[in-house]
Amino acid sequence: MGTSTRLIQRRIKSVTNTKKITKAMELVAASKMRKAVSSVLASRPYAEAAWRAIREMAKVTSTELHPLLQTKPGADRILVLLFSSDRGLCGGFNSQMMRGLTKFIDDLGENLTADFITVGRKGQNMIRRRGCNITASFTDLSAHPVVTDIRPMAKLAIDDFTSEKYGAVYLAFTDYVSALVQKPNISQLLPITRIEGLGEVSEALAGIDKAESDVNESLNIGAREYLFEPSPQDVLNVMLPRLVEAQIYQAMLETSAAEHSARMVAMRSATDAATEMIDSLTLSYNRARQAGITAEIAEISSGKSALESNR
Amino acid sequence: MNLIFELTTPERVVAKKEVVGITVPTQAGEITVLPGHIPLVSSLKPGMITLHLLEGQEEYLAVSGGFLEVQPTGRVILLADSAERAEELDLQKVEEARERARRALEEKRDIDEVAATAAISALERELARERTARKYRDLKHRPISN
Repeated sequence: MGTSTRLIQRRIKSVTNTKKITKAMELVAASKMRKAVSSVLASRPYAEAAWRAIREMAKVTSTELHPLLQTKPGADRILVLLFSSDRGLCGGFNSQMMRGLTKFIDDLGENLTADFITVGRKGQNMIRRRGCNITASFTDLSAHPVVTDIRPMAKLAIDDFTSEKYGAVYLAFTDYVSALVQKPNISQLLPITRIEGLGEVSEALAGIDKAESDVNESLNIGAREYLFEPSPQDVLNVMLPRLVEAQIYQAMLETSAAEHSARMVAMRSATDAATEMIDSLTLSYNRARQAGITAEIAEISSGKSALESNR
Repeated sequence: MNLIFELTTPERVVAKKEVVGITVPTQAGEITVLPGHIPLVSSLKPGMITLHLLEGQEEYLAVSGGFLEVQPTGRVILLADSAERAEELDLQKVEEARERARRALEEKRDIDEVAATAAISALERELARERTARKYRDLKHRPISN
């Protein structure tokens, strides 16, 4: 019963404590993930309804003329909104995103440089280490993102895009596919060409031709044209930035759900590893204890036989 | 034929129910949408929405700007930047928030134009909330019997 059993016992105790922590983190991450996933679903109807209204508008006004829909061929810079986590201990979540981003930047070619707006401390550090330009950085948002958090980002992106500082704006976020699978995703935000999950803008604009025949048809059955107040252009001017906001918000929620699920999985495997370690430590502890007992018995019996032979 | 009213913000679906009429504050003034309204898209300004329920009662909601879409099918979809049901509002907290917004506006008025604009919209939003909360409180205190 020497130092070795005591050492093993101490290790078992410390691993047990670590296991308690990882288990708690797993449970916290799981509940945060559920919350984030339900927020993602709750934010869907807004984007869908806004999109439908824009389709309607495309029939009566020239949506192509809006600055947020136009490509800017002259610009040599692009802006990337990078979503990452504030904290670590979430497995390969951030490095996965970074790998995707590196590939994306390499594919851009020489004559395009990327500036960044980062959300989350990890992304900020990674971009800084790469030596890229960060125009703005936001932290401590991922716990419970609300729309007001993303308004400043949307404003920055829209203002810099319309002032032709950037040729395009991209969203780099992690898609929550399932609790086990998260996929880094980089998609174009501006100019608006397609809306995530809702389809291509060109499709909606192509609806114009079809709409005209619809109008002719509907004239017979009573006009069902939408009335726009104050004017279609005004409504569009306010609607499009909101659609951009809704998309950024959605990306943020997806990232948050993905982060929490990545952390949950990482913490679960840490808990499993701890359990395994405790098992093997307990085994060697028992072995050491048994060895100690055997040695003691051997000592006693050999001592006894020595006494007997002396008599 | 009744209207199906849906109020959605980017965060959640605030309300979805069948009503006989809706009074909303639009940029062009307050309008009431009744069944059979022509299809309309209109932008809203911060204010109070009144839902005229089937049983003759009224329900109040506060919005801080957004859009109204009246579909030919009789569905009325409201996309709001933010919205609350009257019963979700705490009058005291709303009054405090309104005071904060008013002070912020006074501080920033001649100094920072951007901040002043933000303060104005915050003030408008809080005023709309306050009106809604008051209306709800008054209604609760002396219930209209019909």
